Amino acid sequence: MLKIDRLYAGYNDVPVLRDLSLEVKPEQIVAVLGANGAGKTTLMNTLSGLLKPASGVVTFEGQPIQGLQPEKIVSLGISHVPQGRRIFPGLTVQENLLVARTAETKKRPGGFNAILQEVHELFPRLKERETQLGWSLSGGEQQMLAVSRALVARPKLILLDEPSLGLAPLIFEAMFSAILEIKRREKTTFLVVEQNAEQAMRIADYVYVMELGQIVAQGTPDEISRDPAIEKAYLGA
Amino acid sequence: MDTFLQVLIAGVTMGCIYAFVALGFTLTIAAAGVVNFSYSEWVTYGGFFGVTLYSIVGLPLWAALIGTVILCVIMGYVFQWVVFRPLEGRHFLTIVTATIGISVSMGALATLVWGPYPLTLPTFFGNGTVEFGGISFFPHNVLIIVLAIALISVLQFCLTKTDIGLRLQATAQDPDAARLMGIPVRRMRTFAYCLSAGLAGLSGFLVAPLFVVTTTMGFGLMLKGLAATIVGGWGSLKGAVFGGLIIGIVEALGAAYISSEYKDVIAFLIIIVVLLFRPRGLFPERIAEKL
Repeated sequence: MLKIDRLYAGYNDVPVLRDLSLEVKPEQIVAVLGANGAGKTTLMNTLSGLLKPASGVVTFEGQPIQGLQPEKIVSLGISHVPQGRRIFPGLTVQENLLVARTAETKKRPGGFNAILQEVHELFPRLKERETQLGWSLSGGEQQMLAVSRALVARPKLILLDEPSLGLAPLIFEAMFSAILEIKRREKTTFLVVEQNAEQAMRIADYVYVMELGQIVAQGTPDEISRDPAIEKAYLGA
Repeated sequence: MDTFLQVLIAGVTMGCIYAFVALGFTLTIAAAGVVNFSYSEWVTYGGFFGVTLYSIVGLPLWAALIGTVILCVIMGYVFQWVVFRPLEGRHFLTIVTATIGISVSMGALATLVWGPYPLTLPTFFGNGTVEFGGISFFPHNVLIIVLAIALISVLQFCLTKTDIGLRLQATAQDPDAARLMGIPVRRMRTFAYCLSAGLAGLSGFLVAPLFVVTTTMGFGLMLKGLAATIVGGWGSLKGAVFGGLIIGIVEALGAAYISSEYKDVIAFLIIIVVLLFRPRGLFPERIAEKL
């Protein structure tokens, strides 16, 4: 579904991603693990078009997408839930979802309202908070809203950047089960980057380990967790 | 009491003009993070476009008003490509310095084109005053107030109730997140620049009959508009409107009851008092944190 081939990217000539290749298969949850500064967010920003890659090829459903504008990439079916959630603080929960409508939203039977209903089923809390302004939400609610906002564009692939960041354990448990629920219902594919390796391994179908802008290991969660070097470096054993 | 009401009408009139100027100035800050100090010249050019279209081209006054707004919108559009796009995302001081430079150049250009002598523009209703309930006032002032109420209501409605308004707000609050939602941020900013320029044209045209059109006309208004922005809250559209009204009214009352010599001092005293007690203005805006 998504294929990254020999990607180089960075900021102001400082390379962050160096010769990075990975693949995401349809209806999978693929996790990219790595410590702070490994280049995980840079990878996400490059995929969603916020950052232009220096070189390399990214194909989505067979079509090259590297260097396209974010608006274009959203319309192709990739939604990016950025790190820190980045919901619009001065808009209400409802308005945050409204501004995320795209041409795809209208194509769904029932349109925006049908999606809204699904979002409310998935996160009943958001229905309660409907008219509240974004900044007044708790971290967990903001993360729910950020994920819901991505769903409005009816993506085939969701890029999740550190969904567990700053959340209490109980809340990110709920977050991860919501992700599994979305995958089950909508057949959505996920690419998740996480520092919290243990949590991510639990829901992932396939795992890449990233270090200094490169993939240093890959495998199923089982294989990765059995690798002693990785266990020591990333799983804190 | 009658004097008080007359002074109040004059104050509200100027307050509306300041509110227009502050709104236009704030729009580009909110939508694109661009602090446009050449806004004073945009207002000045609004006055000169009006005079040119009315006195030289010979259009009727209402057509000159529409023409002025259109010319200013075109100017805003050109500015976006030549000036603002390269500046977006740069440091605050870079933007301020560049726009001040442009402001000075535009002032000089205005002197070259329209000359150093003051020009005048008539009102829609002649020079007479109207008596109503014992107070007399200029119909032009009422026009300004009515236009301000109508325009600000429409703007408020569009920003909070329509798709394009909500998307503009989203762009203002977090441009990168807006792009990730598929919002065409570039187009949103173009819209904001053009709207801002249109408001400048309108302010320049409407204020021209109250004073005279000179190359420094916009500068004085801009200073008050800036004061309104600071009093209201940097980057807040609501603050711009209320800040403008407060400055206009207090200034008029001060001029009438204390001394007109101290008119300008009063506006800046308000800034000092507000900043002492509410450093972020009366309606602090979260988006202002970007600066």
